[in-house]
Amino acid sequence: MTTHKENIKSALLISMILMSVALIFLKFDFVQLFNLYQTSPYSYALSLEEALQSTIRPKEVIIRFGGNNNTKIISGSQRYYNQTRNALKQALSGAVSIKEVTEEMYLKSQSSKSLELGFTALNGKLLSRSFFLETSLIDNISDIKSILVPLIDESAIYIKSSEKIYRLETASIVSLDTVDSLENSKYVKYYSLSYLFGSESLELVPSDGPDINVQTYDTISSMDSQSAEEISRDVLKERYDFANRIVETDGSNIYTYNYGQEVLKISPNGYIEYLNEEFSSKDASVEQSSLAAMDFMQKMGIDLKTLAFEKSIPIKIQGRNAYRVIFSNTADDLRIISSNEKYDLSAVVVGDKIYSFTGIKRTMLPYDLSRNKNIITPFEALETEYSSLSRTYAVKSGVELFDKIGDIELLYFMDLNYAYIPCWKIIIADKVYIFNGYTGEIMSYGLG
Amino acid sequence: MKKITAIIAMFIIIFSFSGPAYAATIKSDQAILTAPKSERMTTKNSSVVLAGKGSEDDRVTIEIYTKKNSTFSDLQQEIRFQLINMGTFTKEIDLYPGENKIVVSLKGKDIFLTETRYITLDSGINLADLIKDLSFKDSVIRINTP
Repeated sequence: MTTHKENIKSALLISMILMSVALIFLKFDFVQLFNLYQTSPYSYALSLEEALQSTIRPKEVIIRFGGNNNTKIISGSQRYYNQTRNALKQALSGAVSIKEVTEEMYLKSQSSKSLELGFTALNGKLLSRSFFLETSLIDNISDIKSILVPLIDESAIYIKSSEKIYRLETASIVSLDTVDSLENSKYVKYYSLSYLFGSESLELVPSDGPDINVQTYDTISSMDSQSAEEISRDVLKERYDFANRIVETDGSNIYTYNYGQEVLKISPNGYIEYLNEEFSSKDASVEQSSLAAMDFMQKMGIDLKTLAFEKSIPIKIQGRNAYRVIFSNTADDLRIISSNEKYDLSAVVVGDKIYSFTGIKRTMLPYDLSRNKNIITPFEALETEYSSLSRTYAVKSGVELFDKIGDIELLYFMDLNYAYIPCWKIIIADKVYIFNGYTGEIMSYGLG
Repeated sequence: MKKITAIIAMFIIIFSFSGPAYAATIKSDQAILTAPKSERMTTKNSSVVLAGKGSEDDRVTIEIYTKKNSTFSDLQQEIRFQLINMGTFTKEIDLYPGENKIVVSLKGKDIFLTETRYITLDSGINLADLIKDLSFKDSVIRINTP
């Protein structure tokens, strides 16, 4: 009898010890630390490679045929990127070394028949993963600005970051059917400011030749009470049953969990804000962060195929390593930006958990054919605002102003009525100006 | 007295008519065109871009001549426009087959400038290549031997 009692006591003691160990694990989140449940990034329903394939897209595609015959691809740029991607994947798969080269070498190759892809600041690791490569020689390049593919005389691919330029050898000279067929068709010619006016700026501008037709899109909000409810269920999951819901007078739905530790706010205009102060104890990696951000956006009902990966910036959140991952919406392969930074799709990821998210989700309406308009050239846009620009920069002529131009890009700008207006983004002396593509008026100034 | 008045009046009339001609000076050292820089060139492109600079309100005329009886006397096209505040211009000009003489004139308040470019459009059709590429086999009469 005594032995039996002792056995029960021992069993109770062992079970209490086990329970206390289990509770300590849960309390200090050791489950994640020891990766007991294999919570790898690949536990998402979304595959990193496929998600990156959808979202990595160049912000511009420049094709040069040599001898001042240049063009920029406005619509259908993804088609050119997809074909270039195969060449780049092959080059990366077979490469044994990558060589640092000079700017002169890059510019020399650029002046011949070539294709150049422009990016905001693409991470090399993410680019490799989008090709299904586990590792590659460009993994350490964190801010790829452009990729140059020579299409004549040279079997190489150049990768340019904000600081350095690298050269990758390819097995043979890259050939792209899309570029060859374009060469024999009528395309909008672009010339460098350097060629036209002897300017210090190498930026390309379209000539006054064939018209460039870009539509304006009106949009409507993608958010009503029902979609807000669905999103909150997707985000909060099992926590949804314990969450509080507040409906504000403007129609915003706010869901809070655990006394505001986790908050999701969905506004009727489509603006979404999310904050979760329960940290993951894992250390962040750029792949995990990007996948977590894309997975979260899918939960918001955002189609990844309409997004463009902008950049991933390493940051610290309360002393922990984190990444801010930024995407932009696109329409007809052009990026959409807005005057208000809060509308950018931006996620802060700690480990593999979303710490915060802000962004807007709008639905484009079919464009009105009667509103089809040809856009003006960047020269015409600059002419419109020249009197104020010349005072600001103390320039006496257009040519002096051209010397200060750092970048020219055609994109969509979301105005105060949430309409997507084609605009010229022109960087003058490091300041970003957004010129209305139809009228030339300045829509926004000083964007970062 | 009448004679003197008449002479003075004549002088006034003559100077008033010739005034603008004196004001507009031709200066050969100042350039209008910034592109293309070379005076003569040959291209396979059907058009060429002209870029230039002047001042606000200057009037620019572009004349395109082709050859007639070995001289550039056939005016094919004339384009006129006025420069606005930046004082720059770019114009994509369609070329005519063979040699094109492009004369660009700029007339301002106190200035008159003119520049010429000779641009040959090489359409890429080489007679020798054309003959070589011709397929004679279809035109050969086939003689069936018994």
